Amino acid sequence: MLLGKLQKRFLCTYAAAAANQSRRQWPTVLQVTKTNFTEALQQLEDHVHSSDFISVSLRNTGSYSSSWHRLLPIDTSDTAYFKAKYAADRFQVLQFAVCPISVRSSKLISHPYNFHLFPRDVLNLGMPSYTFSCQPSYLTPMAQEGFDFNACIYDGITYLSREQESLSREKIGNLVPSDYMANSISTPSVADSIFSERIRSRVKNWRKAFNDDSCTKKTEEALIKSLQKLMLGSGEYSSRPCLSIDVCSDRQVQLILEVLGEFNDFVPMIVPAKGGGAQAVRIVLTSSEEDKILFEKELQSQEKEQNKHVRGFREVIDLISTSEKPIIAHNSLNDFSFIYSKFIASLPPTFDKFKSSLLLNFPYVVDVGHLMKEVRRHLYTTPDMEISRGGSDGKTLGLGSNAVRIGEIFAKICSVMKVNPESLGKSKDGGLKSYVNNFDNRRTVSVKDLVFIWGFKKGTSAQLLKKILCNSSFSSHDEEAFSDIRLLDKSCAVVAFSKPGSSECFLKAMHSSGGLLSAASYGTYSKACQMGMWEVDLADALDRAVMLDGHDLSGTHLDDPSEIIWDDDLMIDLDDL
Amino acid sequence: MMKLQWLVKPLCLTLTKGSTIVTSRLYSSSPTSTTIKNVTRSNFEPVLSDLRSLINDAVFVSIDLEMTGVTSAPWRESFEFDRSDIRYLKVKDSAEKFAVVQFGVCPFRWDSSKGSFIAHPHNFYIFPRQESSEFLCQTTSIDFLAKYQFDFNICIQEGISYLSRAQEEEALRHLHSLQDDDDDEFAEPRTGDKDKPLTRIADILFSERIKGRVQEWLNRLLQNGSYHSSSKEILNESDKQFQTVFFKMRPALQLNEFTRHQLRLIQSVTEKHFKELVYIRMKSGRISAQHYLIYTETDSDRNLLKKEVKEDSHKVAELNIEGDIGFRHIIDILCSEKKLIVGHNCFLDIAHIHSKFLGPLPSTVEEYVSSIHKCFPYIIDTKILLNANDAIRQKMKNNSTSLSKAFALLCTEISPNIEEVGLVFNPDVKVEVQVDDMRSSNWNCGAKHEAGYDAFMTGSVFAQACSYLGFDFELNSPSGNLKLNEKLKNYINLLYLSWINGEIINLTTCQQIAESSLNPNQKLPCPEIVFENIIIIWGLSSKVKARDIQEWISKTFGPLSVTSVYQLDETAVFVQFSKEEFVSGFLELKKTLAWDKGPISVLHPLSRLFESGGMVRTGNYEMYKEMCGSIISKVKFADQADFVAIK
Repeated sequence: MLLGKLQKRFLCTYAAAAANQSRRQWPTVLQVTKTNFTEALQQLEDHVHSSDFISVSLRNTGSYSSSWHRLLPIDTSDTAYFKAKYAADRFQVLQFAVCPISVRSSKLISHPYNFHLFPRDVLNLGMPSYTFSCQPSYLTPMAQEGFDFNACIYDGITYLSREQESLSREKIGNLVPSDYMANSISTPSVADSIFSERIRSRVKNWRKAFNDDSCTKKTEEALIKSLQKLMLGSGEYSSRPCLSIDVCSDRQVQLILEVLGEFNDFVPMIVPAKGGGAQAVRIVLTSSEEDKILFEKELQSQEKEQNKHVRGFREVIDLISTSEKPIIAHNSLNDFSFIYSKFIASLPPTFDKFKSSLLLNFPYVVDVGHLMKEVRRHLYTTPDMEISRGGSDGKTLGLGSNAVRIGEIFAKICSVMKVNPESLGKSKDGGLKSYVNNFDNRRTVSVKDLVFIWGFKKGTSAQLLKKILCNSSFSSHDEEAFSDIRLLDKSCAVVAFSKPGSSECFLKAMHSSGGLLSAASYGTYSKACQMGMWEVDLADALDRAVMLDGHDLSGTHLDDPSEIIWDDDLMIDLDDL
Repeated sequence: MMKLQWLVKPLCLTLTKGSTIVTSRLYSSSPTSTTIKNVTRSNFEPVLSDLRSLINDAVFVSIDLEMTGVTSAPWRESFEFDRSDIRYLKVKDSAEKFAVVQFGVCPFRWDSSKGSFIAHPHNFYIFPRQESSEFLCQTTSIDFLAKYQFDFNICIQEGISYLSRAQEEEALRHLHSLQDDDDDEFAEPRTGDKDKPLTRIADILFSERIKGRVQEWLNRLLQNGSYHSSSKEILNESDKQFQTVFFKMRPALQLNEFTRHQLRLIQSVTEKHFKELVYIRMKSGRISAQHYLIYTETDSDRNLLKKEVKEDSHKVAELNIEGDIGFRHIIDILCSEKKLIVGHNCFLDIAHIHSKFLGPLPSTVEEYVSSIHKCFPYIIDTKILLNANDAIRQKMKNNSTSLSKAFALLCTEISPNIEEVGLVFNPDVKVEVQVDDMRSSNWNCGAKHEAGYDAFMTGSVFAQACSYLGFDFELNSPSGNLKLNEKLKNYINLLYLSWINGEIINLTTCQQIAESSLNPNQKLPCPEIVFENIIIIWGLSSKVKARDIQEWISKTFGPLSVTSVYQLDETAVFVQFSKEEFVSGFLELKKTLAWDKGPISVLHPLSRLFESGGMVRTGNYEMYKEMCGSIISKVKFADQADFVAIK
């Protein structure tokens, strides 16, 4: 796993500096299912509040369905986001590890939790997710690590995103205590006054009847009560008498609330209608001022319980979000796409919207992956550390220990960069500022200079392609026209041109030649990702994108100023495909 | 048995309510009770050979499947107005998207000495392990499996993998195309930049070190004149990374524990400096690839070596493909034995078998039926049998024909919950269960909704039903020709295409028939649906209800203009007009009302329909077909419709 490798390298590099630290005892991870969720949540609340930062790590049912759906070195932030979105929309989070960490006198104190999630449809509304995809190649290694799928599916914690919660409110129509401010209606019409007057007298009569009622004989009580229910729509709520008044509009709700303001022993509640809006107002009669306060408190705690039940695991997300602590992730774009889509709302259509909306919920996110790269680049050029093996990562820490590892790495980076983790998120943490909320790739090559080619025989090597292109008519004038060619999957390759403008010439030559090979600019690739043309082979996806746009792509999309990283480390190896 | 849930929700309710069957799968370990035969990767091989002879001896084989889901979107459930081609597309979508996780196979053998059937229930855990085998889970179905204590851990860890016939052919074809390729794959550096000068200091150092090491090894090899005599000395080499071995009778260096990048460097060093060494990468099975530098004396020897290696690796690859067939062997046996296959409401089950073990589902129901008929010439659906035959229907007292109900009513002797049944018949057919060497006549160790047990119940119901049809197993034994028997002739190869509509398809003739033609005094035939007169309206506001639409249209075109309005989901409705002219009239009005905001338009009753959602869109029945045929499944109908409309 990438994380393990990263950690290995890192630990080796800084082993001397942090030797003692890495030998310390790993904390055991608290495994949380629905049976111990309530207690764990309370505990976590304390740990979050006393922490300096929180590391998170997710295990999902899959990530990409076909090799080119992975994050490729040629991806811009936009295309990378489309890929992450596609994955987050389909796959499910099964494990969510959270580890609040504090640093006290250069000692790490971590409290790792591992939540088991399952999108159980408790409300019978087809939420949180009607279906989800699974990749056997993801599930099998999880099983080998000892992940208990039975525990996860039988006892996993369910959840609703914020968006889904408000949707569910509309649909199930639970009683809501009225939050309507009884602000007076500006210009009451005649109809309004008649309505108000009718309500006033009805409420008065009902209260009077009830007060008289307490004097009547017990034998008659049952009969009268049932009659009342029938005639007046009155009944009992939480062992207090109540009266329901049907309404047809929000205006009527306002009017009723206004009338009720004249009395001080009523508590109004709104009965929501199925399609949103209100269906009735339920008026509860309390016996005294104290009783009224008591009842209102009762309602509040009832609502809280209800919310907890509906939100489920999202309480944890809300807790992390409101704590505004720095959140450390390893693969932040993917992880936060999942977090956003499962617990906040449906993912926005563009990366920019996603980024700004995410920022509102999680103002301080650091990606250790990015950070590591930067640290390696700027501070140390390390020789190849890959040979060394047999580190401390083989220990069985229990499920969800990745969050601990991520936190650990981050703490070490902090110590290397002379950043005090305790002061993170507070005013001056200059050292890390530029890495916060950085979901972007670094850039080195302009996407204008890239051309996608496909239509060659599957499994053709990049070298052979290079030969073909070099010998072909449209590039023979200039041997050095393109700097590199790489396969993106078995069906498609990307050519990088070294001279500005030569990519356009190449495209034109290709389109006029009418050979078997097809070629397109970056815009076509971008379009394919954006429109969700997630065919198995990239070639098929590009074919579709070209069909959609016609062949005049050579010029139209080349005004894209984006650049991408062209890094040897990220080279695609055919063995991986 | 999830198909019940899919076909008729209320049926599923009665099914769960009425169950007192043991739902726990904690089998008692007392020696007298036989537990069901669970089959996983670890015991698949021996079971396979046993099952081969059991199937060979069987009169019929009953099957049942458990899947990870049934519908990939709510609107893909079965509706009354689904034409038969739509019905097939929905089943096709389901079989293509969801995985089969349990497969019950139960051969029924007739024991003439005892005058009873011997059933051999097998419960296979299967799990797709091919690289491209992503599958969908329906949350409620997974929850349903969990309710019946399905063991997901066993399934994922120990489930038997499989390869369909089409996948196997494809894999072999791919392998042979590699073989035919003239350019040899291993001689060329894979990365394509052999000539690129090394830039990283570490790489240069590493390459130099490797060059030295290899040269040293080569010198020692050559110094000794004959490398055979020196082999011992070289073998003493303590370094784990370079191990001297013999590769096809040639001295070689085995490269261990290098990173991929390093191997790439070694390969390029070899090619540049050591013409007599061949770099070879050998992959065998699931172990990671081995890398060698092999010494060859001459060019011809080098070519010979390359050829040998190539042939070897192809042989290994072929064996691997054969090993991947896994569970499909069982299907192959069922096909080749041409046994009578018995299932309960099994149209979806059969579609899964086609897509998982034969090949991709064809695009039309006709092609599908002929493809299935070739493999499985005799299929019986017990649900059809139960509904179509009056004698059995009487026995069932018009109870629901769910599997567990039928089992409880018909198989009183075997069924564990007799007290639930008011009426007791004389069961004519005895069924004993044999698991491994244990036999028992009142076996209740299975659990409902476990594929193996459901298959057993299906087979028992079938045996009982046969006897009600007047088939005497004693007289006809050995009853190998049950499948050709006159009494079954009317029911063989009939499957429910749609249970709701009572639409049946004949696999032999590919004809579609109404259930009422089998048994006229049963169900009222559904009113004819004129598909040309159907319009889909989507993008409606959630406040608009079906009855509003009916009212608005009736106000415009008259009270008899609308035959029915069906709410598909919260975003869409189907409107069926009584005459085609109303369809065009409606579409005309939509056009004008959308543009014209004048007073007459505003007062028009239909304007409320078009203004309600802002963007109300319409389509015809053919578009609905296109939506059902799409591989995409958006949860909301409106989203799916928009997706298809854009295309």
